[in-house]
Amino acid sequence: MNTNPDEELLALWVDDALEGAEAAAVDAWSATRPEWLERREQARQVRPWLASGLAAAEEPPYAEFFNARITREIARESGGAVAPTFGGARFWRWFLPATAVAGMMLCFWAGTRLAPAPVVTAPEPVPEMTAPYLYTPEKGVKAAYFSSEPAEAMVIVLDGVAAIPDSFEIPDTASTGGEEDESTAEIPTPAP
Amino acid sequence: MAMNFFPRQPSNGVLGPAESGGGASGIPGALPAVEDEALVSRAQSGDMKAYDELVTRHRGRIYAMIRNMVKNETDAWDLSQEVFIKAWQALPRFEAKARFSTWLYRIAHNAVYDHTRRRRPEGGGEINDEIFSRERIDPAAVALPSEARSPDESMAGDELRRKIEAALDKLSPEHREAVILKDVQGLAYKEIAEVMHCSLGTVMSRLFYARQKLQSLLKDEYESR
Repeated sequence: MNTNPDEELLALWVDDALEGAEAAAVDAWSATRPEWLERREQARQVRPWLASGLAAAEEPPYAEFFNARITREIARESGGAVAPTFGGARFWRWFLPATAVAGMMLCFWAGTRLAPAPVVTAPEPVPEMTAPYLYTPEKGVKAAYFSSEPAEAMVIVLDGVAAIPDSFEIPDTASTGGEEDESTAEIPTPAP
Repeated sequence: MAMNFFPRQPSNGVLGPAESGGGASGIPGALPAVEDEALVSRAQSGDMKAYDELVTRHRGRIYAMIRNMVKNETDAWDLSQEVFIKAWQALPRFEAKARFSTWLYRIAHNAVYDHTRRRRPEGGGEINDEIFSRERIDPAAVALPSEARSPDESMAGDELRRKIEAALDKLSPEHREAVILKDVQGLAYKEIAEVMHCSLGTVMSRLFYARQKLQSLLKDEYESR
């Protein structure tokens, strides 16, 4: 014969959550069990204390940001899309790589079956020997260019340039008498 | 034939939602589970607005529960975030066998215990709590935390809270959580057993020792009132 209330009933009784016949039955049972009466008394004391000192619900600081950050994190972890996956996306996810692999295999097969066409190597284009463009800054002066590879000579003829007076002496700047990279700054320029 | 003096009454709805079909243990302000179910269903279909609504409905209770456990606003804020992000990730596996709120508390329980294990013993990794102090909050901020109490009430409430938190701090994490879930959050015994992964008897035992210790620790304060 079971004369003890089960633990669920006792839990409810300790919390004053039983009513009617159930409460009366456990009351009668606990009358000779001071340890259970003590439990109920503890609960009666402590429960309102905690409930008055600690809030059951408390908005987190910056509540709007709280939600926004969760949404952002979820979107970030989902790769920017939080919508559930659907059949179409799943199809393309498999179809595209499969198509690429099939294409590569086809190309490989075709490469092994088809004979390579004879390769006709075209001669390198020979650059045309064009005459250099001659620029004459003085009006009325015509320039002509002559080149001879056998003679390894190039001649530029300027027609229309005023004659150089015999009195004009070419300065020695072209010949410093020293090293090639010698400075010509110190050579005095002859008076005209 | 065995005779039971304490037959179960089917009308009793205090043990938990699994039997009562809803209603969170008689605590005022408990959210209706029916609305949660609809929102969960929509969220499971990928409706982010529905999930945002769920977050709004439950963030206060989850944050309060975690804060009472870790006693640090910043950690509580971060852990609450973690709870809702993990809940979203696990949402496809959520079945309506348990209430959504109980399921959230269970995730919160795991997050708090993971956090406790991760935390360095010397507490060197604690984040500075000052960043959430009211003096440092921009008065023009849209989401300024509300403070409806008068300064006197606020001081008295803070003092009481500090004493209770100090007393709770002397309990083991298991005892602290059991008493917080029961006497502060108002969960049913069965819900607490689900959240803490233990039997009903263990919940009762933890509650007994937790209340006994708190009664002893808070006795002076209690008698002076």
